[in-house]
Amino acid sequence: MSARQEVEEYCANLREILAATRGLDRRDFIKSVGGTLAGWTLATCPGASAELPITVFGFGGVWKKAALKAFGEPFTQKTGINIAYQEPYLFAKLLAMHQARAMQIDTAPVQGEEMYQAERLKMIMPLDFSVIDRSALDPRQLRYGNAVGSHTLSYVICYNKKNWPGENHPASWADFWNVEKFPGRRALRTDELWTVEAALKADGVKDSEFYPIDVDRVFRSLDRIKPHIKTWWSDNSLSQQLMEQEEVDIIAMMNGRATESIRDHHAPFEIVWNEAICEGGSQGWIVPVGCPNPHGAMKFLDIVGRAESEAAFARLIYYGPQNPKAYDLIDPALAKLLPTYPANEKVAHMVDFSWWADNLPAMQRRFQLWLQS
Amino acid sequence: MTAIAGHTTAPPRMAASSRQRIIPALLLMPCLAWISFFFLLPLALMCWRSFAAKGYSFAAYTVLFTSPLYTKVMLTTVKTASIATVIALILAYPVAYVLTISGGFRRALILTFVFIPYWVDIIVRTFSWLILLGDNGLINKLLMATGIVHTPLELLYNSFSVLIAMVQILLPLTIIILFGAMLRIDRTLIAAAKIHGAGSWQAFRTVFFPLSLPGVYGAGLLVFVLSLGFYVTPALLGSPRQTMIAQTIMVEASELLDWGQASAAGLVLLIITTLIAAIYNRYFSLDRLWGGSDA
Repeated sequence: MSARQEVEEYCANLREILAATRGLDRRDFIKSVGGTLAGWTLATCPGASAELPITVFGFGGVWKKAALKAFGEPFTQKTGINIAYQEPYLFAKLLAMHQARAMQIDTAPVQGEEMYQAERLKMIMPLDFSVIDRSALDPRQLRYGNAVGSHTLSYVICYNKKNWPGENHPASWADFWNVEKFPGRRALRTDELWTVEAALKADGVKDSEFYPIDVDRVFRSLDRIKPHIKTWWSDNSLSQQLMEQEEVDIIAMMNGRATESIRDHHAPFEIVWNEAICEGGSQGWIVPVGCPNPHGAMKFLDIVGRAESEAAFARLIYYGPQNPKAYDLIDPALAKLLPTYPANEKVAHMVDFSWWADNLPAMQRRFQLWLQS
Repeated sequence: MTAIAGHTTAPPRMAASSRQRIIPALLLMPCLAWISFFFLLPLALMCWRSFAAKGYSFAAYTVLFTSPLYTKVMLTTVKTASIATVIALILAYPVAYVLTISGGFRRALILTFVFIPYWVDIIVRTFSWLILLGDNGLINKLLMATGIVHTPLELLYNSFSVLIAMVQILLPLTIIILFGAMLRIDRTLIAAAKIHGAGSWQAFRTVFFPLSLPGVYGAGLLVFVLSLGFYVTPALLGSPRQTMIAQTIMVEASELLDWGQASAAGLVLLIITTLIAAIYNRYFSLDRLWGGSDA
């Protein structure tokens, strides 16, 4: 059986599992994926060939579990290539290895302005389309040319349903900033990029006139909300803690974490998809120049962008698949909670990371100074 | 650390055989090699980078001393570390004293209770404070249930929460250092004071306490230096106003990828720390902490 046929067969199998487990929640889904795939592999590939392992560089915690389940285990079962997982992903480490000419990472999920930096520093290997099946991917996943886009996340407003049970609830960044109409304890992220984008939306800047960012206007808008922020969170788990313990009434946080807290830990919150600050497919898996096993890494990239793996990943961590075909495999109730769901994407605000690639350090320093004074 | 581990209670012998000198030197070699390769060399590279990354100039240092951000963060760091150190010393002293005067089972029991929190991961300990101090946390719930307060107290995300968590993390170490220093105090001196008619309190105040001060100074320095580098606690429990230098260096290095700036900030922190240690050593002779002579 050729490698391509094997991947096709694996995908067909995963499609069956996704369909059979459609309504299940995350925990039950993990069980059935594990069980079914393990049995199936034993039956069809009795002796996987011993190939060089690949080193995948990713985030820790839930992210790692989801990535290994959705991409890693199927990859190893299909190709016989083992995965060494390095965490937590940090672009600075990748850059340090590149500069030292000692790249130890075979593939990594690079995101946002990092992609532009990696491109400029010639850190990315061209994709090998004799290994990666281009027809399985959506053109949008290949927007950077040398990266395979897999998922997207959004910075969303979440409000406590106990405070606003009816129709009259915060529904935009202007509402988040409107402390008279929607009084309550608020939390924002101590990260310049997401907060700056939110501040401009709150000030009513149109998407068509968003970039280049009017920096003075940003800080005028931020000045208005600052006295009303109870806490600035810096760590994703902290944002979940704030929501689950109901320490705040309105919080802006990353959508995957919010959904995990709401769906799996029953926090009484609701996500506002209107004006979600969306990464807009800026994330992509790359193979860095000089890595030890580029061929194995390309095989991995052939798996990550497929609708089947993307659907599995979305079910495990609630980030939006960049491959629209993945939505055919996702339960509509869950699909509505993902940033790339058409209705959500339509009302989202897309971040232009090319502006940030040039302006991040200056903005970061000014933002930190503002935040600390 | 600038302290020289000198167990030089015996006067130096001029006629020491060369063999007696070679053996300690040989024993120190692995340690020296390790430190050179994994500490001194990277430190030198970092120093070089702080100049080289900005076109072989002092640009990174100019930013450090002129940017209001760094001045503010540095002041906050020194202030927070000093207050945490003083509180930790005040709380640790009685515990260390009780440890010194109690024996056997009681000492083991106290030591166990001192050490248990020390073995728990810093992140876990920090998150526990979130649960205790929150609006819906244990303390506020208790206060509101008993009617002492009607709206939750603002216990989190301010310097109070940062300090309480830092002190909790520093306390076991402070107690152990003080306990070690107090053990070396000759207890017959207190007995002598009592024989001469001093009461327990007077014996403590005029004999034990002054003798324990060098230990207090030494512990103070070690704890202070340690608290300068706190990262997780102010990030999770403080507001941006409590930002400490380690957080700023982390952002420069891992988010802005400005390694020249991060190196310069790291080096300045190291220099300030070394300076404080040197001045301290001049007045309070750190040797005494390691059991060296008080001369």
